[in-house]
Order: sequence, then C-alpha cells, then structure tokens
Amino acid sequence: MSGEGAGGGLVVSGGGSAAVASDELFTDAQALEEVSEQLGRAVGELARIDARVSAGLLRRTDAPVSAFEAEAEIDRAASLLGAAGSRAETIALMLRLSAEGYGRAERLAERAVQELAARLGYGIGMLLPMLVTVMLPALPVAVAGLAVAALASLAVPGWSRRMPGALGTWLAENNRVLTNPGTVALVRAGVMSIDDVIAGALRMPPGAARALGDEGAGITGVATSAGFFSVVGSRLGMLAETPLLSREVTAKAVVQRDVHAPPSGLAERIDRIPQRTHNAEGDAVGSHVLVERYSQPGTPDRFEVYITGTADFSPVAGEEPFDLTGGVTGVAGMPAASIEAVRQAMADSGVTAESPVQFTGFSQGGLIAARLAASGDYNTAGLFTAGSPIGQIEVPSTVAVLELEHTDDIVPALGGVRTDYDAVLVEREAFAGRDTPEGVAVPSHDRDEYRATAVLAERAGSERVSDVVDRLNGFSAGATSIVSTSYVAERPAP
Amino acid sequence: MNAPRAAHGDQHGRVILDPLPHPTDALLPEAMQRRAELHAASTALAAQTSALAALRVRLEALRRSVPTGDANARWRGPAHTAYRSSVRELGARLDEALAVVVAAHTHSGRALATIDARVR
Repeated sequence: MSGEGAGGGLVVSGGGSAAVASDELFTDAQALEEVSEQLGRAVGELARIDARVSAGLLRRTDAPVSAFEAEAEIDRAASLLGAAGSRAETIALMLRLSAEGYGRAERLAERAVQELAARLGYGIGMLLPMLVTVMLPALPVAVAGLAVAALASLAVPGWSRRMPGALGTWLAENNRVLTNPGTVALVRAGVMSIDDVIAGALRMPPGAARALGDEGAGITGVATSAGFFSVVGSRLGMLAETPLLSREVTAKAVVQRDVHAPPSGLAERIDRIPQRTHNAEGDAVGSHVLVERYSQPGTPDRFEVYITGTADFSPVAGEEPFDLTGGVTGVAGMPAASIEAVRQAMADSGVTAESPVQFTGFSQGGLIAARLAASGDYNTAGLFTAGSPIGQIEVPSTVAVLELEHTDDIVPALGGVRTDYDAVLVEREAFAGRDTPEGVAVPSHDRDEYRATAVLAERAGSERVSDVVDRLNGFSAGATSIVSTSYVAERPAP
Repeated sequence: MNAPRAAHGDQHGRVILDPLPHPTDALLPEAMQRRAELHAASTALAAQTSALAALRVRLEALRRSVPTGDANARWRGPAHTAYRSSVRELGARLDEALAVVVAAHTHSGRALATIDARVR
C-alpha cells in the first residue's frame, strides 16, 4: 500500500492499532469523519432555521408561495445533508476497517513467512555440519558474504570498491539488490530464523525449538541469536564487549554551549544528532552524544539526548564504543559500551531517574535510545528513532514513540519483526522510482534520506503521526534556557 | 352615517365636544395584529435568509474538503476504485444538497422582499 502520493509515500502503522495504511488514507478517513460531523451540525442548523418561521405565521400573513417553497427546500436539504453525512461516516469507517484488515493481513503474512523461515532455518541448522564440510572450499566467499551483511549498515561512499575482487565490483554496480524491499523482507525473515538455525544445529527437538522461539513463547529470538554471535565471536576475538563497562568506558564532555531554541520538528532533531566519523587521516572526529538541558522557572529541568549511529564497522572491538560490537551487543540486550557511554553522559549532564528525558537516535543511536527508554531506569517521555534495528524492543506505552524506517533499508530489518504496536511507525521506500547513487552500500540508510522522510512525516496529515510529533515537540517547548553538552566516549581495547 | 359625537357641559353651561378618536384606533384589533404579524414574519424570514446564506458558505467550504479519492496515486485495484467511486458519489450528494440550500436561500429572500413590501 506504499506509494508516492501527496504524503510522499508514507505508510503509517502502530499507535496502539493494527491498522496499516498510507498517510493519505488516514488523512482521507479523518477528513470524511470531519465532513460527517459537520453535516450533522448542518442538519441541526437547518432544523433551527426551519423553526424560526412557522407555517401558521406564514398562513396568517398570507405569505407568498416562495416562503412555502423555502420551507420545503429546507426540509429537503436537511434530508439530503443527513444522508450525505451518513454516507461520509460509512466511507470513513470502511477506510478504517480496510486499514485494520490490511494490517491484520500483513501481520498474518509476516507470521506465515516467519513460520516458514523458522522451519527452513531449523532444517539448515540440522544440515549445517554437512553443509560446512561440503562448502569448506567456498568458505572465503561465504565469509565475504557475511562481511557484506555486516557492512550493509555502512552508507559510506566507495565502500564497495574496497570489497574483495568481483564481489565488490558487482555490488558497486548492483547496489539496488541491497536497496530493495524484497531483500529487506528476506533479511528480516532471516534474522528472525537465526535462533532456529542454531536450534537445528544443536539438534534440539523441532517442537521445543518452535515453542521457545519467536513463533512460540519468544524465549529465544533475535536477542538470543545476537547474544550467540556475541559469545561465539568473542572466542574468535570479534564482537567481544569489554567487561566491567561502567569502570572502563568514559564519556567526557567536550563542548558546552548555550542554544537559542529547542528543536521544533523531526528534521531539526535529526540535525542535532552528533556524527562521529573519521577524517582523511583516519582520525575520529565529532562526538557521540549530545545532551540538551531545557530549563524553565517553576518546572524541573528536562533533557533531550541525541545519540550518534555506528562509527566503526570493524567486528573487532577497539577504542570506539559505537562499533559493530556495540550494535550486536545492543541487539542482544546485553551491556554494551555504547549504552554505558550514553548513561555516563546523561549522569554527567545531571539526568536523574526522575528527570523528564526524551531520546533521539539514528541507526545504532536509536537502538541505544530504545534500550534506555525500555529499561525503566529513566523518566522517559519520548523516543524518536531513524533507521534503527529496534523491532523487538518494547517501550512502555506511556512513552511517545515515533520510528522512521525505510522499507528498502536493511539496517532496521536487522532488529527483526516488529512487536511494539504502541509505537507509531512511519515507513517510506526511499528509492522508489529513482536510481540509487553509485558506490554506496545502502543509500536508503543515509542520514540525509532519513531527514527527507522526517520532513515528510512532519507534514503528515494523519492524526496518528501529528499527535506524536506534537508530543515530541511539546517536551521542550517553553524552555527559557538551553545548555547543550557534547560527549565523546572511549573504550579501552580489551 | 357617522355616530353622534360625544359632548359634555362645563361649569358655565357651555357644551364641550369630546375629542375625536385617533384614526388608528379604528384599525384595532385585527389590523394592528396583522401588522404585527407581518413584522414578525419579516423578522423571521430575514433571520432565515441570513442563516441560509451562512450555511451555504459553510457547506461550500465543506464540499471542498471532501477527498477526491485520487490522493494515493499508487494505491490501485478494486478497493481503490470502489473508494474513489464512493467519495465521488458523496460529492455528488453534497452538490445536490448544496443546490437545494441555495434554492431555499433564494426562495426565502424573495418571500422576505414581498413581506417587506407589504409592511411598507
């Protein structure tokens, strides 16, 4: 149901409802409900107009025929407007029901695909030892393939040129393969079935595997799979998170300045997310976390925390806490250096368990933000994420949550199938009907592309989106003093 | 033939004629009541005409807010066709209702003009 209509092809879901539809469809339903309500009022108004002139008075004054004709037309208009109002209400209801039906059908289809992928995954897991033996000669290619998956979260120009030989050249010329809603759906299904592959490889009874997995009790799933990779990877010197994080990770304030105004929209929030990158010499520049403290006389200080995305894609943990290890550990729900870094930055800024807090994060930054919002350790009022793998993280329903996802971006798919239906999800196919730029792994994960989607979401007509945007904007409204502090975190190499 | 005019005598024995009745006194009560009712009808019709004019403006704005059914250009298929057809039908019904309100306003205006002419 996605499309490039007036709302820029936004598809809206969540907000405590099963309904999934384009922003235009929800906007139309709202408009029709408003029309129906206004027509009801018009019928009431006509009744009052009719009562002003009584038939008796007209007869007694020997009123002209036109007066009686007016009376007859008023009655007719009331009848027509009443019927039109009922019609508008019915159409609006049908639209809402179709959105509900579409959402439920989508969930059922998602569930069916998940079941299928789980069975397939279990079978692959059972055959894994044999497959490894047969495919041993092709292992380098497979490793390269895994590297592609890891590097898929990169949106760095020219990345694919650095990939080995023919694979790099092919991907550079065919990055549309990764920037594709079909690929994204496959990745999501694949991520959801990793636990089944592991169960198959461990020769777990199929019934038990299903009962424990996402399709059953949900005891095992994306988080346990990520945890498995984290544990197995650490044996190979990869994805090994530093022990005793709270002692070793340090987040230092690097810049503090006064800010004139709080952010007034989603795009402005994305603009405020710090960027930790590497310059031409290979040195890390920029910060990881930015905390804005909003003060207003008579109210407790409020804080908005902006968190950067992955800054280092090496699978080997180094000094950079916002690396692949942090991402995988974060998906696993285990203590990650990046999460600890944000906690430290918040504590340093004066955030307490009672302070009203709102989180904004891009990519891994959104994952960290969602983990912190879901932790219950903070008085979280709002959460805004863009391109983040947070499908399996459930944030309390009292928190205003808005997630932006591109349906052709595989990074959010790495978080698995969505389970939190209270959060409002705004989706868009970033490269629908246009060419992808050359040499970028996943252009749809580009921050600027998400900024463009944020602008469209701000203009969305559906109340589901505008309500949550208003709540996010209202958090910092009225602040008389704003202090912004940027933080850079370090993790001593293990 | 006129009725004899009432008279009375004063202290000097002169005959004093009573004052003549006011001309409108002769119209009461039927004529006066009719005149009052014409005023009431005029006031009621003026209010009706004005209210219909205001309602017409509101309905015209409401008509413009009815969706066209074309917004989501990539939503295709029977469901979209049915939806577009439904909102177009709704628009047609509203157009018809609006035309009736316009006619009511016109009739009410004419009736008001006629009644006002009688009042004058």
